[in-house]
Amino acid sequence: MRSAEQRLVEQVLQHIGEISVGRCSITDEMIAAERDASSQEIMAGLLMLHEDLEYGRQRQSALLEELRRAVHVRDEFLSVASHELRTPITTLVLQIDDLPRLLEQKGALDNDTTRRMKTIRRQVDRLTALVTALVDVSRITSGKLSLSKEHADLVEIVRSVAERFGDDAQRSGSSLRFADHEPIWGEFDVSRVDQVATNLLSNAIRYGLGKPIAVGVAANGQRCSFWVADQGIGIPPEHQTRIFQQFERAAPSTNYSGLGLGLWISRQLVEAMGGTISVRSAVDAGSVFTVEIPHQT
Amino acid sequence: MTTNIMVIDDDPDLRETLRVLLVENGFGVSEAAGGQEALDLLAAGRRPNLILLDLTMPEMSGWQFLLRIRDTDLGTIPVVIMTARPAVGTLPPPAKELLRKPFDRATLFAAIARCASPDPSP
Repeated sequence: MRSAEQRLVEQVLQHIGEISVGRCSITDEMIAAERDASSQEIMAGLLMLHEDLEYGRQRQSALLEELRRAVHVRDEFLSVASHELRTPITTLVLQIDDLPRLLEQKGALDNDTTRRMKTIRRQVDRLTALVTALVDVSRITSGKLSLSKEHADLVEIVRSVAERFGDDAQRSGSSLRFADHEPIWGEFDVSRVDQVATNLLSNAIRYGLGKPIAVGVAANGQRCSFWVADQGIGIPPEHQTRIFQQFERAAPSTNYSGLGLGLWISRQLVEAMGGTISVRSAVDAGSVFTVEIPHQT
Repeated sequence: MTTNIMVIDDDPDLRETLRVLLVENGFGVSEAAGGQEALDLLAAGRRPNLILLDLTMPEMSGWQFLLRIRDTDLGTIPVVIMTARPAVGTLPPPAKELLRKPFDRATLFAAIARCASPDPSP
């Protein structure tokens, strides 16, 4: 014959089992029907535990829902804001494209004006890049990123990016060397590969401390890669994964400007191409970023 | 023989910028601030060789404008869409090209060159 204690223990275990999955069959009548005061207390305690847990669960799911809504509102705002910015930038870009020629016609294009025009042009390009980054973020988070591939030479794509950065590298004091390679033909989304190389190179210049920067391309069987190497501030091991995440940056924002989006966007783009992006780095020695993508000839 | 381009955009600065740029490069330009104004100009007999069309405009959007001209004799005029919106699926005829804002002058002229043939009529 089971003792009253045994029965109580079994009952308690059964209720704990129920409570752990969010149910509870204890009623006030059951509590009142218990024989002694301590059993009543135990049963009442279990019921209270269940109610506390349920309240916690509801609160948690309400918070989660609130959080989801907030993220959605943020993404919506980002999308609208980034697109609103594009129209004024279009006007700026077109006006600035045309000004040097106009000034030259009027004989007003002296050295000083040329220098100022170049500064304006650089800043408009920077603004364009920032807005493009925001647009990309909203495209990626809403799952609307699409690639358009064409037959192209990877070496040529990366070389043209390196050439474009000649002036920027010079201004920062870094020499920029492109390690030449025979053509690597394949199916590539030219503008997206350009964008990733552009991001890596602008990082190399920004964090490169004015030291030499090298860019290169390699082919290995079905895959090909390009890399950007600097000898700048480097990235501590504990940050080397984090930098590829959204809004994350290893360098302090008090010293280095930026949205913390470049490498995240790059990783999303490279992964959409079926490739990988990785970094080897040591503090004060510099970083080598390598992008490996399928050949797809 | 001048290639005539109609610029339809509700942003007056962008319209003005495009007009100056196009006129300097030998194009004839007419402007409309919206779909209805463009339809009025077209109805008045001004037939361009190409239309540069913004999509997001108050009152009559670029999409609505395209729907209105699609099945008329105006539907043969090539249209280059200028948009800041991210996802534009397949272009509805007679849209031929898509310029994503911001675009530079080289991209603009390349798109125009691919679409516009000078008026063949005498």
